[in-house]
Amino acid sequence: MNIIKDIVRHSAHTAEVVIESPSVARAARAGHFVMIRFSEDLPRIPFTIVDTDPDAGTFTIIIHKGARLTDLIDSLAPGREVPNLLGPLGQAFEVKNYGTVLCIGDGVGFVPLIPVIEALKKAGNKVITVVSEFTEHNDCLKSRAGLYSDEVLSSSSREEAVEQLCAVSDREKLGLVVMTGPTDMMQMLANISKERSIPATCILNMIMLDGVGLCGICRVMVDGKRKLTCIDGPAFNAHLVDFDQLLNRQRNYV
Amino acid sequence: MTTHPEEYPNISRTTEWRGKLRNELSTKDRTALPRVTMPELDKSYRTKCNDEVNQGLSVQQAVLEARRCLDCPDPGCMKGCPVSNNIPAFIKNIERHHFREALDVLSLTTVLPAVCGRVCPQEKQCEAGCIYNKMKKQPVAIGNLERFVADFNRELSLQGHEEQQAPRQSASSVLSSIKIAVIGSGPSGLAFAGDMAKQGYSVTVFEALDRLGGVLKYGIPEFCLPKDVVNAEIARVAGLGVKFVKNAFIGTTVTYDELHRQGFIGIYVATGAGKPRFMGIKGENLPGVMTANEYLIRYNLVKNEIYGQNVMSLHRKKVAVIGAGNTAMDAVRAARRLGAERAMIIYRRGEDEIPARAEEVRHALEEGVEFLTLHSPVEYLADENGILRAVRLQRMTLGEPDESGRRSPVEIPGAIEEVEIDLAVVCVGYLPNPPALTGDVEISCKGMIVVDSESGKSSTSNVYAGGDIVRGASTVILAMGDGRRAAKAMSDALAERVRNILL
Repeated sequence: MNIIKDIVRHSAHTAEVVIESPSVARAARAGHFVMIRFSEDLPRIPFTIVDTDPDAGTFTIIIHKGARLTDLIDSLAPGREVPNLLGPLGQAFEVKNYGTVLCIGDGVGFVPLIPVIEALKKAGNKVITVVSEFTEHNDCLKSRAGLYSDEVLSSSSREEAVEQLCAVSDREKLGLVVMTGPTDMMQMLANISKERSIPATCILNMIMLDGVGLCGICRVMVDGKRKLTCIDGPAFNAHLVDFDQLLNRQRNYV
Repeated sequence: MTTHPEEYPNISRTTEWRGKLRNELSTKDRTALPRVTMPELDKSYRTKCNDEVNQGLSVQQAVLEARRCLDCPDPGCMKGCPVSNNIPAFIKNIERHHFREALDVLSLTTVLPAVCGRVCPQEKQCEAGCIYNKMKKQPVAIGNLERFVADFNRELSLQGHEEQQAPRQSASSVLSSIKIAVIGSGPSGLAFAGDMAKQGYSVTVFEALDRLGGVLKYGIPEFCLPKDVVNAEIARVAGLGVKFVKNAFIGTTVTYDELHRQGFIGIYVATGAGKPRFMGIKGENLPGVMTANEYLIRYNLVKNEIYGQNVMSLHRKKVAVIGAGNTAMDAVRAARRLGAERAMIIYRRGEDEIPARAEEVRHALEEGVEFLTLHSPVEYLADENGILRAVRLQRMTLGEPDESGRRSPVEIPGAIEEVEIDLAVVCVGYLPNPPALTGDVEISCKGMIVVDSESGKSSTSNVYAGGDIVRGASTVILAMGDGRRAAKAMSDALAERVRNILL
């Protein structure tokens, strides 16, 4: 149980890790995450379940060096056992046919979109993807997204990503915008989509200690109600999230 | 009650040795003995470390205290114990230096004697029923003695003198083929699992976190309840044949249907209440306002290190803990240990209404904790950077008793003050954890599982529940009592089915 089966190192910064855990592989849906502690001296960290192979009993996560995990990627090797692994957690993404869906994610924070893009495409949506802050380091993410996107755009900055939302929605009717990445970018996208009456879902990326609703660090106000990202999320209606409060909280919890 | 010479451990009051022991000292001599004081760490030292404050009784002290017990014919202490420990039987075994047998007496009814001896509110339960209270004397220190018995035998087994194994009743092969699932490894789940395993059922406990013990691990700090003590008690439950599966979140990792497919016949849900509750006042989401769980999990489990930052030094910081229950006392005393310059309890009722254990309150006072009773937070204030700076407090006075029997706090109009703080820890209770089962188990509007209060049986057959998921946030011992009652009810029901099949 919980054995690392394979590691694909896309760059010095990014690695895909395939982990054997039949129960997670069987139960996971797009939008779920797992809590993993790779070694006793590391914290428990939430990772999006990017892909599953129920027949092989494996699932895939993507680790970035950015998240203060510099040494971690180098230390992982196939055959190693992961001491703690809990999942799948959170609520599955509401997958249905929205028509045309625009998925916007920021470079490193793009990962949670990957399984959603696949699920939406398979549900018959036309999927247009914007990879923001695109560099050669996250090329692998772009190619992952490309597998199930009808169109992939890239932008060099957050502002450009916002412009692309406007451009795409000028050009065709959008049934949904899905966003992830830095909170300030999501706030901009949420405001624009609200102005244009386009339904929008944000996938929040928060620190959690337990992932099962105990610590309350990941609390967020949605439509005036207190929600926990770990058990009620991680996806919320972006038009109802109190981003100002979230930004303020996140300064303390990077 | 008739006695059988082969019965072990013998809990009958009419055995020859107990009669002899009672006659060794007169009631007058026994009641003249003062209650033995629990040795404690020096107060100036204890806030500089995480060591357990209560050091435990020595053999001599325990025997001396055991002598005070009058071995009443109708012991009031037992009536106050939620798990019905045979208190006089274990205490009299201490008096005659049969410490192993004392443990075996306790093991008939409890799987966590070392834990309960430390964290039970004895002054409201067993010790409240002690005959000494009627004589206006301090009751027998039942909690301290229970703890002594558990600790003495654990130490002995650590030194390899005696095999540490709770008594196990002979298991019938029919029962051992019946698989029982327990969801949650906290006190209620452990008590249930222990009782069922003793009867011979094949019991598996599923735990969502990576550590066993539930609230005993993530909630209660080392200085009240050392982790080694909890681990030893869990090892004893494992010694009864109970299997433990960590990192298993029932409902997602393993679904209810899967449990059935795997052949689990009975399910006991003891998932607890750990979802943080808030007061709903302004500023509760400011950086600097923490839930009790965030704070205590960081303190207890993640060893102050989170994402490489040491965020848990409170050196020179002012800390306000909201609430005055046991969790609040744990939090505020932990703050002193983390170096807080001011550690305050903010409580809307008066001193007499404080719900925490009396000993914890005394320890907190000794450790320099300030008590701002009759103060209720109305708003958290931020500085110009949006970080918590202060809390606004409404002064209260006491009015008429409310439904809980405590005098309810009433606002004093206009009496508002502001106290500067760097950290607020909200300890105003917990909500039930999200449901672990998606079956047709009836859940109340407050999120608790609805059960028959006698048996713990839920609306779904073969699904029982107990502990905080049924009561809302409560105590370790009441959770254990639920576990024992549910085990009795479930095993009776299953035995009935087995009999019907065999006939």
